[in-house]
Amino acid sequence: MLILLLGSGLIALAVSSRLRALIVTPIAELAGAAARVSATRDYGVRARKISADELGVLVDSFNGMLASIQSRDDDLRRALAERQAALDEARNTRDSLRTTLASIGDAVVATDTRGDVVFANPVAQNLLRASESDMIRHPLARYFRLVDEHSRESIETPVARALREGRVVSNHAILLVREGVEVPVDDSASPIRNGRGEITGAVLIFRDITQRLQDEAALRSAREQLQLVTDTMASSVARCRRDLRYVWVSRQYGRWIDLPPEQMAGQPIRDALGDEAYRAILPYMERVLAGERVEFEGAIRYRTIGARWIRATYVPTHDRSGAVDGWVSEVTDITDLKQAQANIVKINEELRRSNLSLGRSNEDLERFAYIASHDLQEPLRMITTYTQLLFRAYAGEWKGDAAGFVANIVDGARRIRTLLSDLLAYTEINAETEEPLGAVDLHAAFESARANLKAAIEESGASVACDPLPRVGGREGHFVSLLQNLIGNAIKYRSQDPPRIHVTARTVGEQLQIAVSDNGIGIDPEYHQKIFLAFKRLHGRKIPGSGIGLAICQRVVERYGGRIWVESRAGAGSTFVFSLPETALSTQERSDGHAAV
Amino acid sequence: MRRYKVLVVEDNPNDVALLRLALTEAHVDCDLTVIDDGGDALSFVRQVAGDAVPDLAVLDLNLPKRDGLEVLQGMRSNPALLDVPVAILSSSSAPRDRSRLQTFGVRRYLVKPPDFDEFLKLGQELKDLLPEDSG
Repeated sequence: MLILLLGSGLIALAVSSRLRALIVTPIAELAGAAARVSATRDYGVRARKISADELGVLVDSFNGMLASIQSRDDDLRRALAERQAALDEARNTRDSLRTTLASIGDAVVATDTRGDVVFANPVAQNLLRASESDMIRHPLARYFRLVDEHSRESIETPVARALREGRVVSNHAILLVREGVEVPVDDSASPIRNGRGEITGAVLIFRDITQRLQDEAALRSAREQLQLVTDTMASSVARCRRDLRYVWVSRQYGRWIDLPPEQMAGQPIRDALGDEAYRAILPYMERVLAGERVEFEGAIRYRTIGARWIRATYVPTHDRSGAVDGWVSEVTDITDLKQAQANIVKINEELRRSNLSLGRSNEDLERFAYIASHDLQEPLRMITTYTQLLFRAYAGEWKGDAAGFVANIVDGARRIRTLLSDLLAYTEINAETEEPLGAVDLHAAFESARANLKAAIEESGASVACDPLPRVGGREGHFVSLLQNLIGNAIKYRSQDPPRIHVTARTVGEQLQIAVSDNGIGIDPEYHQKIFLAFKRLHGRKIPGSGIGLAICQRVVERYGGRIWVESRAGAGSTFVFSLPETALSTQERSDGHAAV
Repeated sequence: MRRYKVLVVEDNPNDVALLRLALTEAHVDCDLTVIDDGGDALSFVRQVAGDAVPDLAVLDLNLPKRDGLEVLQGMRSNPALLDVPVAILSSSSAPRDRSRLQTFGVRRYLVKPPDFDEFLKLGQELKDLLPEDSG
């Protein structure tokens, strides 16, 4: 039994060990591989094939199933990674677009095909005074209202037109933000199309152009001012560039060079002015482009207007870096001036020549008058003296009218003598002597003149008086002779009444005026000029005179830079006035400030 | 009464005759040395000496060749003539001539009078210039 038992035991042992080798081990191998795949998700794991029986077939198909799973898993992983990458890219693009739209200066609004807002960047929100969340899914037209800047009529939003017409629409209009707030804008709307070319929405870009309009206005105003200033200037102004072309010329420049100014911008200077003028001014243009301020004057022959004298100033202009980029040229046409100068020089020369010959003939005349009056005195004296001697020596033998005849000869000779000495006095007024010019007390001169006329005053019963008279610069003899002639005339040309003669002085502006008034016969205005001419007499022999007294007066007054004239009517007395410039007053008089009495 | 020597520089013989008449009328006993030319007068006054030195010189200003002023200068360069009184007898009353002569110590400036009676009075004025009769 025991043996049986033992034997059966042994057999069982042998059977089980065999069973394990044949069945249990391969199955355990399969199960282990499956557990490994499950744990690691590594579909590359494979079960070991232990036998080639049914179990070996099982392992093969298990491994085949794993290989197919592995292949599909790789595909899936790849697809997933690709999708993820595309998603990331789309997100990046969207983010960067949003960032871009947020940071650009223009306002950007996107709408769907109905025109409802789907996006608005911060500038747009700010300009339209509404947040993106307010506007989203609302019609853009509610926030974006335009009127024409001139007619003030409402304008359809460009988005609506872009959606309808499928093209880019631009506007320049006034945006009504809300009551009382208006913003000038430039806007542009364009349709958005998908890959198939279908319109899926629209994008509107607009910007506030207030600043630009202000800048433009400022620029325009600056231009107008430049125009105004350069139009006012007599000289011609041009702005020129380094490349020797005009940038801008003033209207006056155009008028001067006889070319339309608006066509000169950009034109080469050489073409406008012509080769000859260009060559003439080239050295100056080179100098100004070297940074020098250039001024020059010269005769230049221009293509359009011929030879002109000009005075020009070139001032260099600089770009931001400080390099000379051109110059401003200011040109004055001095042709007329030059001609006038030349004329003046010519006229001066002629004047100088005729002055010289006039001076010479004046000198000749005066020398003649001096010598004549001098030398004629001699024979005249002989006539007088020897006539008297003759009469004396043969006194007893003369009969009848002889004494009267002799008296006539002597009287005639005396008249000639007076004439000659007056003429001599006249020529000597302008003669230079070593006698220094002094301060003449006019009152003393008046007293001298009155003393010289003592006989005539007494004979006529004249009253001769004067107001306080100032001092003047000059030669006393001249003023004595002047006053003596005027007072003497007043006595000579008296009326029936005893002469009353009064001398007064007054200051008129820069002039001193001395007046000698009388109650005499007066002078017809017709003769007021003539009486000052030498030898011009209004009366016959009844009133004696050489006719040179007033000519002497005029010469004296003119020698001191003054003037003499008469205020009178026939039968109403005369007032002879002579003026002296204030410079003729002696320094003493000026410091005294009052007249010497 | 001594007999005076009077130098007369005058180119007008009529005036010399009148002068002679005037001196006679004034009772001046004199010999006249008459020179009618400025050049001759200048030579004379430069070298005159001794007995020939005149007691009085009467000069006209307007003379041929040299004028009276030059003659006067010539006289002032001759020491023998230093004390000789000089009278200018001129037809000119122009101040330019008078002022020039003041510097030469001229004793009398006489303007030839236009009247016979006046001319005769000149004789007396010239007589007053002559030195006192010592003999």
